[in-house]
Amino acid sequence: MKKESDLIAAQFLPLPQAMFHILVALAEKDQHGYAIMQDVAARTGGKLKLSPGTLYGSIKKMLEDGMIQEIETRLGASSDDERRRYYRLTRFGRQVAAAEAERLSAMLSHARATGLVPKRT
Amino acid sequence: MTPTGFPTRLYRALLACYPAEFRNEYGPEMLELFRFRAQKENAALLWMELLADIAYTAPKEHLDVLLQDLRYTFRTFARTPVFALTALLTLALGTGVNTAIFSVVNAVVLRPLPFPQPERLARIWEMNQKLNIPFFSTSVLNYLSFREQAKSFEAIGAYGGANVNITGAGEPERLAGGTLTSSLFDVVKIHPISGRCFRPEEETPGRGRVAILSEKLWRRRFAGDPHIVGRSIELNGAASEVVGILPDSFRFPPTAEIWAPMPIDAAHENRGNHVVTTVGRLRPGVTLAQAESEMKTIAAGLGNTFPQSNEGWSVRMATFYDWIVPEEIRTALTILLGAVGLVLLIACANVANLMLARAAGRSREIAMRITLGAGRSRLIRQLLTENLTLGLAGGIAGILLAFWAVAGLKRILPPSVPRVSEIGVDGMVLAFALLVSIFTGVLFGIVPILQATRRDLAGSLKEGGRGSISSRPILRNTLVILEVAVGTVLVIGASLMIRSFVNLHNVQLGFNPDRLLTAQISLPRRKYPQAAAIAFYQDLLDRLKSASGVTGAAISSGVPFGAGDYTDMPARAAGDDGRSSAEQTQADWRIVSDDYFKVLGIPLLRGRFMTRQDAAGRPIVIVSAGLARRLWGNQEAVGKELEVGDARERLTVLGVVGDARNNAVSDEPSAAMYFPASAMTWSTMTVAIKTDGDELKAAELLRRKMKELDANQPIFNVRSMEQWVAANAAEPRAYTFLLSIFAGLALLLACIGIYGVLSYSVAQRTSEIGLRMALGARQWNVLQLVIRQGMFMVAGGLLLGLGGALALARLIRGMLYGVSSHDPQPFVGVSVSVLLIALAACLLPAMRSTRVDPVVALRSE
Repeated sequence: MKKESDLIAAQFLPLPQAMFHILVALAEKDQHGYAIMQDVAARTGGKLKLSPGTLYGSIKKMLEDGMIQEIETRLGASSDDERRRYYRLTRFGRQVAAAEAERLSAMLSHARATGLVPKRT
Repeated sequence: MTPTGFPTRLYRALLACYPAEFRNEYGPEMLELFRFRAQKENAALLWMELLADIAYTAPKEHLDVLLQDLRYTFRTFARTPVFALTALLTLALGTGVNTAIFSVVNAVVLRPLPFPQPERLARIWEMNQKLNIPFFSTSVLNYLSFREQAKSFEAIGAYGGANVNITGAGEPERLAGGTLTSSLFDVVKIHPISGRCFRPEEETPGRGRVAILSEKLWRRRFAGDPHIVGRSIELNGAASEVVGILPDSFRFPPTAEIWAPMPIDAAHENRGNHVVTTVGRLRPGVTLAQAESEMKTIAAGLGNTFPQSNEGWSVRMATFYDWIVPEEIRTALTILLGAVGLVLLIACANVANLMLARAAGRSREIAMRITLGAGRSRLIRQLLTENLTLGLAGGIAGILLAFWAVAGLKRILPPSVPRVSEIGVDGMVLAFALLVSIFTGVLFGIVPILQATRRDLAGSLKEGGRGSISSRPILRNTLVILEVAVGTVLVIGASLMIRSFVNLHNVQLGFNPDRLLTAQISLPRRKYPQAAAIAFYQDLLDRLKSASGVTGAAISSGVPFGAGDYTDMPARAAGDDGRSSAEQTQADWRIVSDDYFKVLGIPLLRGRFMTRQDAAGRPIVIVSAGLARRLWGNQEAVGKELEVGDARERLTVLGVVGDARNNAVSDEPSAAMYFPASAMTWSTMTVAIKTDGDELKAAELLRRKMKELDANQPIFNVRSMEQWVAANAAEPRAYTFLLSIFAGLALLLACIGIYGVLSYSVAQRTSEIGLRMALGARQWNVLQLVIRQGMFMVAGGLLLGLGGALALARLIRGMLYGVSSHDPQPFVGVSVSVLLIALAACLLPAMRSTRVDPVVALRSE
């Protein structure tokens, strides 16, 4: 039986691509907006560059839905960093990200089963 | 960090596309991000990306806010269903009546006429100032002269009315029809949907055995037969070939269903016989005034060449629009639109008051939200969303109401209002309803919004939840004062109209329309030459008179208010010495059978009625008292001679009868002459049957008697005289009815407004009233207190309203009959009524205030 929070997390699936990338970027460490953008760009080999409207629109939505939270200041932040807002993944955000990853992975294995995608060696 | 350069400033400006809340929250970071990227990335690519980003995400953010506000709105409305429903109904009523009346204005006044370049189309009348004839038809010969000489027109055409009997396949039927010149099609540029127009050579008498059907007739009588063009049909007993079908937008004359070419035999036409309607299409660039001045010159020339027929005759013109949609109708509709606009204003004021009352209750919530950081603009946006939602919901309900109201309006409005059949809810009307909804949403919302967001926060929070609006009741009271004022204006306007209508109803017609059936008969000349027609009618009248239930029967070339042919011609008093007076007067004339006056109840004042034997003797005439007075003053008219028409035929006056109204209930009786039907009949005659029971049942009798005489002769235009008279007053009746409804609605809404404000005020002042009662005030004192507050508003509104009503009365002066726009009676009467009705509205909340229990009221503090 799934937990109630898992059921709630399932309601957000499928997650918009930008949101999933942001959740992944925040999984390792708290980051500010610009760093998230760079992280995502690096992770996708420069193919996905989050534009400001999409980035902050997603951040706003995810804050409202409780997937991420804003943290006051990061420990050991430089003075330049202080003006920026940092975001941290919440437990719920982690659940949503995991559920989305599971969904994608299930889809991938279906694709492999049909021979659409080569099997992993 | 790079200094703030132009690109940064530009990007900052572009951020204004986002909702304020979002911008305030993330704007600085987005700007920061922009600066970073601007340093590193290709400027052109970056800008392309950013512009696309803004175009995509900014509307999304706005939509987000909107959905959020809508959810909040619906939650709020669900919490206060009575408020929401009251507001919704009030707005639906306001938008509904406005949309309905606008649909009339749209179809009748605004929609362009169905002709190419309608602004170049002109109606051409002849006129004669000396004879006091402001508008008159054209004679065929004058039409030909105009067409030949005028340079201002691309084309001039003419048409006349010509009803026909259609026989052959199916029941014989009488059809409204017309005769057209071939050039008319070049003027109006409406082309047949099938077949062709008439050709010029078909105007030659005897060569025009062709006909064009209206689309309606084609569908109705010929079941839309696709092969009808080229076939032969039987009209007035002779074969005619159908050459075309015209669309229903071709309305010359308005009710015609079938057309024949106008036969023009210039050698035998009479230039003084004004029988055709002439219209023209102006050349591009020629103004109406230029064309009119050219036509006047031509008319003056004709006057010199043909003084016998044309002396004193000139021309006047109007655009098709002014001709088809006369100014009186535009004025009447504008007044109705104004009236419903005022009803909408009252509805808005009521809803605004509801909102204010609710805002007072919500002041704590709003103060809390402001304190919690909701920006003022965000709050205004939220409230505006609420208002617009309410406005639009009211609008949608109003449109549903309008569909229903439009169906009713089409029944109420008489056929004399042009284009009534085209009234409907179309895109233009929907756009209007939408605009009205938005307008009302903003209008009733703006005051509460300003009030709600300007309030002193600390005060609201301290007050423990009780709204503080009662400290500033001025706004709400002002709204009620305005409502009463507007209501008063409309009620006075309506009562003036009602009085005018009653006057019209009570007017002395000069004849008795009671239990009188009228119907028309048209005997074809070919089958019934003059003598045969006279014999036919005498036989018919004899048969009718001997039938049971009939107390009298007569024929006439036209009955008052009826569809008959009647027109006027000049009449002069003939002197004993063989000379005649230079003075001539225009007199209505009609041909009547001997019993006509008895059947219509027109009294004989002097002399005697005619008999059938009079036809044999010298030409005689019966004149109305008005004509006798005009020609001979106080002298005895019986036995005197008068000259009629341009041919100056001499007739001896046999009798003088009472004046009867002829054309309009509101027109004074015209001078009239009656010629004996025993000497001649007109091609179409009206039969009038007086019965001792239900006159409409006599129609069957008439049909039966007609069949006995000639089975192929239809009767048509079968109406009771009462129906003719009622149809004549149909326009004032419709306007009076509608204005009364709107006035009643306005008064009702204003009373609801008074009631609402006082109820709220009583609720707000519970503790004050409790305190007063604890300190010894009697119930009567409290009652007085509340009523005084209410009636103070009412009195203010009434004073304002009386001023407005004076202005309205001046505006509708032209629509009033027998009522002075300054008649004090309706002003006084309505004032008293409004005061009494308003007092009733005050009384309910006032009674409630007296039931305040001081102990309970004071404990709740």
